[in-house]
Amino acid sequence: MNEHDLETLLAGLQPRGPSSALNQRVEHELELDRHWMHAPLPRRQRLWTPVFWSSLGAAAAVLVMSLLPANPTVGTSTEIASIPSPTVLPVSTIREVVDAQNEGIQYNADSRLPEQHVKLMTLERHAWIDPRDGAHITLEMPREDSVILPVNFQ
Amino acid sequence: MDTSLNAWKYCFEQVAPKLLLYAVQLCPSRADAEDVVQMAFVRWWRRFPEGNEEHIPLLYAAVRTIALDQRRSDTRRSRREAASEVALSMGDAPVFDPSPEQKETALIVQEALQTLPEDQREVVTLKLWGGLTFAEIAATTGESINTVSGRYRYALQALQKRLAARRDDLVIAAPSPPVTNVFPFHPAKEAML
Repeated sequence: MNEHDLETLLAGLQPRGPSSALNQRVEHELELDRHWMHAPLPRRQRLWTPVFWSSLGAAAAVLVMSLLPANPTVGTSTEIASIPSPTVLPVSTIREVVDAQNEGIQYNADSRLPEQHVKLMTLERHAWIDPRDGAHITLEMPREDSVILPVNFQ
Repeated sequence: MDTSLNAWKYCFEQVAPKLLLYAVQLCPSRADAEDVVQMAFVRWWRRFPEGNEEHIPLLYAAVRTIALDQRRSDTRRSRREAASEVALSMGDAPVFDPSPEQKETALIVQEALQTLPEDQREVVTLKLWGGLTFAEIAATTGESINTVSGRYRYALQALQKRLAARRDDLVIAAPSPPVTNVFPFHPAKEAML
């Protein structure tokens, strides 16, 4: 018996099939979690997935911005973060002071008392989360406030 | 009919016998081998539900990894290895599904396979019944192509010697055609590009 005959002999034997119990177990396990039915994404889609999520985030940010009041300086940061939204939940609101300009001491036109005028440039960062898929939405909003401080001369 | 839901059945029907034959080489019993095949196939199908044949070597690799992990984690296994060398091999359960005229041949071949070292038996199983190339076997086992082809050659030589004595009892049947695609239909490959 040469090598080729031996290979033919061996390959001609069919391996025994699985038991019906094994078939049932595999079926049961695949039925338990059907995520695999949606798992395969064509490569083209996989390549675009980050872009898709970015677009989704941007769209959500636009949606949130449209819900914000027209003049953001009117409301406080807490009010902005708690605007009712049907899908997203507020996570945090942080205000970071970027710059402060001292505009000097001025006298009030009515009371004639001295006041110190300060212009504060801040950056508000609002974060929301979509509880359905865990997507994070972050919105940065520059803000400028004029602050008037009482002055006492000693 | 929900094709996605049932496609795995066709795929499993095609690959499960070969996977079991391979798993039996690495497991102490057929029941253990079935457990390994179940875990490997479910894991593989969840990852590659399109059933593309190019991922079949990964399925064998999954079987190998799970079987070896189970062997390492089973302390009783080591006791069995020390107690009985036969327990290392495929055991007494038939591993082939022969035609009536092949029954004697199947028993002789199973017996001869059991005499091979495990690494040689593994390569022979993957090559002849799994239909893997030497390169795929090398990738599956983590060995070089030269090593696995050498093991295959030594295994065939050993089997030749074993079977020569019982040559008159052997019935050579035509091998089944290789499965080129385990799926009932080819997935739209152009859509994957």
